[in-house]
Amino acid sequence: MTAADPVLLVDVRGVTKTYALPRERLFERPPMIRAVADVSLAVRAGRSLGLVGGSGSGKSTLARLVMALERPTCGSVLFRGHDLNALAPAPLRRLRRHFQMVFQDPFGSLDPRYRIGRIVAEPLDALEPTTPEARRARVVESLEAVGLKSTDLAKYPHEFSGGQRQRIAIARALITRPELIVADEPVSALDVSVRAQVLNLMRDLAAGFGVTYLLISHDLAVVEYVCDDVAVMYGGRIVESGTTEAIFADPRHDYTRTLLAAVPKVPAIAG
Amino acid sequence: MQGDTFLARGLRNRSFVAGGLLTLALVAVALLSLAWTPHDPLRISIPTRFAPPSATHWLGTDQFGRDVLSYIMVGAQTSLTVGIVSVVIGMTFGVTLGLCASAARGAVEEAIMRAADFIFAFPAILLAIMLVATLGPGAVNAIVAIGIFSIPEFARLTRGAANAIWVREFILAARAAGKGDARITIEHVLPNIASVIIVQVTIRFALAILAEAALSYLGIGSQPPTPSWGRMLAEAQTRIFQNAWLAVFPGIAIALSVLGLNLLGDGLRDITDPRLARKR
Repeated sequence: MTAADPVLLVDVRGVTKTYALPRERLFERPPMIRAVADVSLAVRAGRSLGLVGGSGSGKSTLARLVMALERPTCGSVLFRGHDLNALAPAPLRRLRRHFQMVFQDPFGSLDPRYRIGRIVAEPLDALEPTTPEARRARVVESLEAVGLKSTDLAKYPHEFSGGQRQRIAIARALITRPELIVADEPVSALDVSVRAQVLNLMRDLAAGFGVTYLLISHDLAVVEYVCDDVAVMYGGRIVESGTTEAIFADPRHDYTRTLLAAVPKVPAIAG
Repeated sequence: MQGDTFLARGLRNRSFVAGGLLTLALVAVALLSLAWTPHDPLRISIPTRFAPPSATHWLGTDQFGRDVLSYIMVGAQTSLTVGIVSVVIGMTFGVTLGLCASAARGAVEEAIMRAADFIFAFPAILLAIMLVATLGPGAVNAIVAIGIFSIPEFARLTRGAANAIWVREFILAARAAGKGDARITIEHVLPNIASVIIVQVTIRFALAILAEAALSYLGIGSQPPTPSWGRMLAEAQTRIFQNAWLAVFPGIAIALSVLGLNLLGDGLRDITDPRLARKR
């Protein structure tokens, strides 16, 4: 059972998610699309999992299902043995401090009317309200962990670049000291030069804060850099999974080979 | 443009400046009339009735010899009161319903919006007349009627603006942070649509002043002796060819107030939405 496995963070069991498309005819059932089809996967503490797939493969939907932002059509999502969709709102909220999310678009995921201090403190305010002094200390600590200064607290999101904004989003996810961070394409909206900085930061945080990632990406190079395990999604299903080395060394599925072929080969630089 | 303060952008916008000045003038006149008017607006003096504009009576006198300027000044109080109260009624209920519809989605949203459409299907002034006819004439009933019929307008506008906010990623981030729908509505949705609502407030305010004038003109708004611009028009129309100023001055007062508020609304919309301003 799950309770016996102390390192099992996320346990996705046979999850399917279908969406209704807009009706084509008034008196017919609206057409359905199956974004995720009977997917099972597990994320263990300390082993970050990369979820790779092309656009429309259902990987973002799966991320939202793991974050309990959507309800699965069938199947269940367990976090540390708790079925997220069977929990009442209050216990689910208490559980949320253990898993947080970083979104793709660093321009859309920060409320333009909030100052940075309030943005970063948002999960804290919602999940574990504390004294103003303790709150400020946590916010500063979180900001400094991602390489921003405490003087940035009073600024607005539009005063920052894309890479800095994504750092702010990571600081927000980090503030409750979660065990799991679900990162949905965290660097795909960033310049290539900034990407490496953010990925390095994510790797450092995994070591420093004991965070495990569920990293969603269409880019295998990104996943290889941060993750220990890889699962490849195609057409709503997981077609291949294994350790990062194994997948890169010996891809079994055609789609994985196609993805691998798309990764630019860079000769190793010293160090 | 982004670094500019709100005020700096406002002062460069001609509609905003002109509308703001006219609206300020309206408020100033209403406030001034509480303390001082050239003559007692309600004093009847038959010997000096129908006096044309002169040094003593700047805008002349009406059929009871009341000073038209004083009467118009006090009438500004009526217009402002009707505007403020009816807009507050319409905004409070309309914005609340719109936010609920947007947060609830599904059947609740449909129910609220179809109910709003139902009220929309009737001309507003006709409905106001119907309501006042049922409740009985009077300033309070007119205010309530005007307020009720601005509810669907606010509800529809709020729902539309709020729906555009709900699909943004920071709402998803707030949900992931553990906030519920009610808290997201108050802390994220409302602040982001506030500017749209403020613009609508100024425009509805102008419509309320116009509606009050229309209802009073028809004799079912505020009742004598409460001064009202609409009723001044109604009383003046039989003598429009003999004593034109009796109709012209309250007419100008209504026109300037409505113009001022509309310009203010236009200006505010341009200022709060820089994309729209640049297109002109």
